[in-house]
Amino acid sequence: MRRSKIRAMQVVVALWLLNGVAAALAPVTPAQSVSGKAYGALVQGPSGTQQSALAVLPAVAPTDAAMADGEADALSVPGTITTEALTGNTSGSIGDAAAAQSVATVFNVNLLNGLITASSLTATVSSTSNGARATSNALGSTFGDLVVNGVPMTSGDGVIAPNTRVNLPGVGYVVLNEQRPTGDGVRASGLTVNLIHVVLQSLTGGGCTLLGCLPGVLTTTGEIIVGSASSTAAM
Amino acid sequence: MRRALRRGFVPGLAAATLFASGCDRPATPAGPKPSFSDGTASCAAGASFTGGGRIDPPVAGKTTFGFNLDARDFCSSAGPIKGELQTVWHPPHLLIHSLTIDNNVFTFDDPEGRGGRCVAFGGTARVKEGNGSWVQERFGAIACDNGEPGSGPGRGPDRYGISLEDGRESGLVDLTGGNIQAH
Repeated sequence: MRRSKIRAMQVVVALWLLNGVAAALAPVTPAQSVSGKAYGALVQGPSGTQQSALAVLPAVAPTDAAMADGEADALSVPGTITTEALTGNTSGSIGDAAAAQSVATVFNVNLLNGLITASSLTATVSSTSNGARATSNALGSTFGDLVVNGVPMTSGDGVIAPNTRVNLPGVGYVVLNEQRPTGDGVRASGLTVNLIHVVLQSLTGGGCTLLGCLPGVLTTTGEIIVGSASSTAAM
Repeated sequence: MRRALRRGFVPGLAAATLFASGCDRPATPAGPKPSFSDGTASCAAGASFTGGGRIDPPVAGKTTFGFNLDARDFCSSAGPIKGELQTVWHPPHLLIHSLTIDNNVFTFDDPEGRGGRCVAFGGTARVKEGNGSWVQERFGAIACDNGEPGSGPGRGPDRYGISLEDGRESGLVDLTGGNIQAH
């Protein structure tokens, strides 16, 4: 009888400890939080990373607010990107609701020696949450006079459908108006918009021998993102 | 009304005076009356505003912005106003970035009866057009929070407008993207 009581107590203690460990390992999300980020352009490749007009929202305490912004006259990586007048700003507040919004703008974009051009890009996202409903949107995100591989995509300031993919033979592909949502739509919501996201690829391996031919493998060698804005809000 | 808005934008702080005549709510600083006071300052509709997004005024063209204004110290004890503003007026490639925010603010109910709260503030900014040089100018801005989500389906939309000392102004217009939050 005594032994069974001890065993029962051991089980209870083990379960209690297990519960504590599980709780400690669970991801901790602040009850009220906002975050935001915006930048004009990002180039990543074998030679390194360049990012221009970066703005990252600092931590915001409840009943407070903050803003960050960045700007640059131009960004030039020969053969990869030239742009002018890049800006990014992000702001957020926590009060009765949590809200964050971010904006990135870029003028006179020329990627990959004219393969993609645009007179201007405007990325705008906002997220709000009141604890019962959380939403995000990218309203106001537009492309000015966008041309991809010789094909006009917008005339003047126009909208491109979210996550439009265009293959770029010999280069890789581009996703236009790339949108990545996060959150449960009740307590938290977030959205990242990358207006132009070029994935650079090259064919590696493969070839033929006397035994036959093996296909090459497309390998990602870098990426270019122009006009990026993201925001999240949780309550 | 439009005339009032256009006049109100230049100079920016005069907007507060113009709007004051249309607002019945009295100035309610809880602390001592601000020493600068010209009778126009008011915290009647709140002390903190934050926002960012886009407007497309028919006259001025696409304009994007972000700002944060914290007048809590000012409203409670005539302390300093903290804040920052960045605005890009797209057609002329004009970048406006605040250098100082005046120790003056006017908050009021949305004059179009949308049930929201607005703030008028101003200061000095560095301004650059295209590849030109930076120049310093006075600016005035008005932002209105008319509900969530600010520019999408739902209440609102929020509104924003900015003017410069040289006479260029956007007018106070609805957001086509982003959000403004009175908090």
